Amino acid sequence: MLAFFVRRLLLLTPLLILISFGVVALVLLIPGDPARQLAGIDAPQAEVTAIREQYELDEPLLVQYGRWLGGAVRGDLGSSIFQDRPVVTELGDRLPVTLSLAVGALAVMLLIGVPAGILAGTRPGSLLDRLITVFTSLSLALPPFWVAMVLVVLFAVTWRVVPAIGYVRFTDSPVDWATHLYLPWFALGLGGSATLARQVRGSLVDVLEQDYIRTADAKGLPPRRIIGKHALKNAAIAPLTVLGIQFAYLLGGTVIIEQIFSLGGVGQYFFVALVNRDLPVIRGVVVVVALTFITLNLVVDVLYTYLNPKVRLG
Amino acid sequence: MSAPLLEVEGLRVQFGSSGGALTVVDDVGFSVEAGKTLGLVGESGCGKTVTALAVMGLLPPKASRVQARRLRFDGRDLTALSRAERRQLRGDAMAMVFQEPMTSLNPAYTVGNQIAETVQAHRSSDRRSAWKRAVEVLELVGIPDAAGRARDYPHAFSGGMRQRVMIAMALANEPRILIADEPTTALDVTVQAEILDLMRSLQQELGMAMVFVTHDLGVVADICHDVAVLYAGQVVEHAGVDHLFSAPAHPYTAGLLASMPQATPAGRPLAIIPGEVPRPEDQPPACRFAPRCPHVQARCEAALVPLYRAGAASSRCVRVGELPLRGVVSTVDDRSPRQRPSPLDLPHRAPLLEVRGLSKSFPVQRGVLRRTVGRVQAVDGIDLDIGAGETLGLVGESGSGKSTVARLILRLVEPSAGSVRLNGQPIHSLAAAPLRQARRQMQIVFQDPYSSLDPRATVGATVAEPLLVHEDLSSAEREERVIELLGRVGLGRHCLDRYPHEFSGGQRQRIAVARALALEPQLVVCDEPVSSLDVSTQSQVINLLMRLQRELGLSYLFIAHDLSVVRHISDRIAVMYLGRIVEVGDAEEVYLRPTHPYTQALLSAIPLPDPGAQRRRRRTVLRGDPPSPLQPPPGCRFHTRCPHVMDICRTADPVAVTTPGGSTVACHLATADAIPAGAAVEAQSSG
Repeated sequence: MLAFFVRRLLLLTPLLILISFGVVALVLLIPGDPARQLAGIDAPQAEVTAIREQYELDEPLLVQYGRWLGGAVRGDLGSSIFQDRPVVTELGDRLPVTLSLAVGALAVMLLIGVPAGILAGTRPGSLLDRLITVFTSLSLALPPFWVAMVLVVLFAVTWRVVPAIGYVRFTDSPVDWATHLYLPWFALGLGGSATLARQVRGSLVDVLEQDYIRTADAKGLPPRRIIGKHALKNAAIAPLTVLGIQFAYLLGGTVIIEQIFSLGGVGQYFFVALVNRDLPVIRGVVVVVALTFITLNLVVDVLYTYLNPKVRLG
Repeated sequence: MSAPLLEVEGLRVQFGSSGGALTVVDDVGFSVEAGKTLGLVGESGCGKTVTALAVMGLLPPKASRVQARRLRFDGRDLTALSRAERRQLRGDAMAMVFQEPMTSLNPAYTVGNQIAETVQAHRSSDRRSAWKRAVEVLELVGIPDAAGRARDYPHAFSGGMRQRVMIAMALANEPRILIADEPTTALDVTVQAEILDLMRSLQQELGMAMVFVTHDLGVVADICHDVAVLYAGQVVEHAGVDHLFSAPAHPYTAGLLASMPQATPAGRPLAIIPGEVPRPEDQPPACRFAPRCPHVQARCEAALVPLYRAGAASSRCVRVGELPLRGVVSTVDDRSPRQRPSPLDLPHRAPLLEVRGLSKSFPVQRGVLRRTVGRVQAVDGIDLDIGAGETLGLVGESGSGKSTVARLILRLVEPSAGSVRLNGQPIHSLAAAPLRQARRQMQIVFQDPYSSLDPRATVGATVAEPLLVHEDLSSAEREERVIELLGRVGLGRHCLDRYPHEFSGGQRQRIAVARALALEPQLVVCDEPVSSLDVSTQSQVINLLMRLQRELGLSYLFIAHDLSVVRHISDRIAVMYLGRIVEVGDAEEVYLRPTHPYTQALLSAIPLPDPGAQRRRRRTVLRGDPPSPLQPPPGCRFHTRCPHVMDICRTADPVAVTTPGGSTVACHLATADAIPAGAAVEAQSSG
C-alpha cells in the first residue's frame, strides 16, 4: 500500500512540472509581441516597454520558467496585471466559492446518478429503466447554462423560493450559503448525473451476470443484500473512473455557471483574466486547477485499491 | 431403504416468453437418498445445469418457467414454496458448488467474509461465531493455515484451493443435499482427484446427499451411486452406476461409453456418436436420439418415447432389451502390437524437430520502480525430438510450461536459451524473413476454437489467409484449395461464406485444423485441441487428426492434460513438471509402466470409466499445488510432493537415465533402480 502510494506520488512530480512549464509557455501562443498585446493596441510605447520589463518577457523561456517556478514553490504566483492583487490572495478568497459549487454539484451527481443507475441496472428493460434512459438522454442534451437560466426563471423569478444570484459565505450563514447554491449545484451537476447513471447502470448489468452473483443467490441471500454487498462494490469501479473525469468537466463548467449566478469564484476570475489576457492569473489558476485534478485522481486511485483488492499488490 | 431426500418427477423448464418459449428440460425425473450420490450425465446442451439450477430455484424467475409433477425435498413440496421460503432453503439445507472456481467467488471480499455471510444469512449468529465457523469449514476442506487464509482475497488462491473454498462455503450450514455442477471440470486431474476424495469423505462424514453434474464418465464411475443420463433435455437412462457401465440400456449411454479413449486400443479410430446434440428449437419429434442412433428403426420416429423399465434400470428407448449394447470393456488389449514402428526407431534418421536445452524465463517486477526482482523459469532446459510422421504427446498440470514450449517451438515467443531445429534449420536464430518462410512448415491449432477464429471473417477467408500470405494464387485457384481443405476436415463448400458463430465447437476446431493445413506443413502443434469439446465431438476431432496424419504424413506435438487422449493419439509421451521434462518414452510404456513418481501420480489421478476397477485401485494422490516456479525447490523439483522422496532428492538434481523399458526418466529412484514394487500404479484396470 505504501509502495503503491509512493510510486503514484513520484509519478505526479514530472506531471506537475510538465503542466507548469506548459502554462508558462502559454506566452508563446500569444501572436506577435506579447507585451504589446498585453498592454493593448492603443497603449503608448512606453507602457509596452514597462510591461515587457515588468514581466521579463524578453528573457529566454527557461529563465522565465525558472523565475516563475522559484516563486511558485514559495507560494508566490505573481500579481494580476490589471488589479495589482497577488494571485495567491485572490485565489484564497475565491477557491472556497468554487469548491462549494463543485463539491455540491458532485453531490448532486452522486445523489441523482447512483440511485437512478441502480434502479435502472437492477431491472433492465423495465418501464422504469426506459424512463431513466429518457431522463439521462435529456439531461445530457441540455447545456448547463440553459438549465441554469430555466432554473432561475422558475425558482427565483416566478416562484421566488431561492435567490437568483450571489454568494454567502458558509461561515456567515450556512442556510443562506445553501439557498444561494441550490440552483448552481443542480445546473452544474445534472449533466454529470446522467453520465454517471448510465455508467452505473451498464456496470451493474454486467456485474449481475457474473458467476459470483449466482453464488450469492445460491447462499440464500436476499436480493437487497446481493445487490448492496456483492454487486455494487464490483460495479463501482467503472463509474469511479468516470467520476474522476467528470470532476474535470465540473471545474470547467464553473466558469460559465459562476458568470450566470454572479458567484465570485475562481471560474469568474479565470474568465475575466482570459478576456484581458492577464497572464499571471491564467498561469496561477491553471496550475491550481491542475493540482486539484491530480489530487482527485490520486484519491480515485486509492479508492480503486479498496474496491479491487488485487490492485493492492501493485 | 430410506425415503428419498430429493424427488423430481416430470420436471420441465422453459425459457423465453410464453409465445416463443423454448423447452430446454422436458420430463426429467430422478431421486436421491441421504448419503448417496446421483450423477447427472450428458453432453453440453443436454440440460444438466438447467436441471440443477431449477432444483435449487436459481433460474431467473422472469425469463424462465419451471413446472414439475413432483418436486419434493425432505418431504416438502418445493413448487408450493414462496420465493422467500426457497431462499431460506438455499445455502442452508440445499447447497450448490459451481463449475468455475475462478469466477464464482466475489473478488472484492475475503473468503472468510463470504463464508461467514452464508452462516449469518441462515443462523442467528454474531460476526465472531460466524467467522469461527468459516475458519472451521476451511479447515474441514483442507486449507492449510485456515485462520490466516480466511483473511485472504480469492485471487490469492489457486483454482483447486478456490474450489475447496466454494465447497467450504456450501458446507457452512451442514446442508442435507449438495448439488455440484461440474465442480472439477476446470481443474487439473491431480487436483480433481483430491477434490473428489474430499467430497466423498465429507459426504460420509456428514451423511448428505449429492447430485453431481458432469460430462466426465470417469468422474461418474468414481463418485456416483446412481446415474441419470440426460440427452436433449430428457432423462434417457436411469440406473445404478455398476449397471450403467456394465450393461447400458440406452444407445446414447452405450455411445458415450464407447467414445471414451480408453475403450479403443491406441492408434485405432475412436468410436464416435455421429452428429451433435440438437438445439432445443429443432428437437426431433419422437425419439430425440434417433438421428444419431446406430440402431434406429421406423418406429423410433413414430411416436413419443416414454421411459421403459428394463430390469434395475429405465431407458427411453422403444427397442429396450432387444439391443446388444456393450458396456465398458475393461479388457481392452493394451498390449496389442503397435500399429506402426516409431520413425525414430529406424536407425540413422534425423528427427524432423530437434529441441535442445530450450529455456524461457519471464521477469517478475515489483516495488516502487518496477525493478526486476526475480525470474519465472517457465521452461527450463528441455530436449525433445519429433520424427517425421510421429506424434509426441506432451502432458503436465497447468503451469508446467506446456503451452510455453509450443510457443517457443514456433518462436511465437523468443527463447531465453537453447535451440529449435526443424529439418536442421535453426528456427531459434532465423532472421525475420527466413523465419516467415520457415513458418510454412509449422502450424498451430489452439485450445479454444471460440476465440482462435476471427468472428468477423468468413470461414473461407479464415482458411484462405495463410495462402494469401505465402502463395501467389489466383482467387479461383485459392478458392479451389480452400474447398479442398474444408473437404479434408469434413466440411462442405457451403461453409465458405458462413461465419464462425454459425458453427459448433467441434466444427470450429475443424476449421482451425483446415487453416493449419493450408500451407501443407510438416509439423502441427496442437495445444489442447480437444479440451473444450464434449466426449463425442472430441473423438471426432481426434479421429480427424489421426486420419490427416496418415494421409499427409504430418508430425504432431500434441499438448493435453488428458492423459488417456494423449496416450491414444501419441507414439511417444513426454511428461512435464515445473518447466522440465521428467519422463519421456514410448506411449504405451509411459502409460502402462510409468517410472517417474509424478507420471504415476498423474495416471492414477485419472478416474477409470469402470466403477469396479476404480473402487479397487489404489491412488497416489498428490497433496497440494505445484510449488511456485518463481522459487522452484532445490534438487528434484518434484520432491515437495513426491511420495517416495529421499534425502538425495532435496539436494541433487536427478540426471536423466534410460530405463529398461526404453524411457528416459529424471528421477533418483530410477538411477538407483529401486522403485518400490508397491508403488507401481495400476494404470489400466487389469480386468
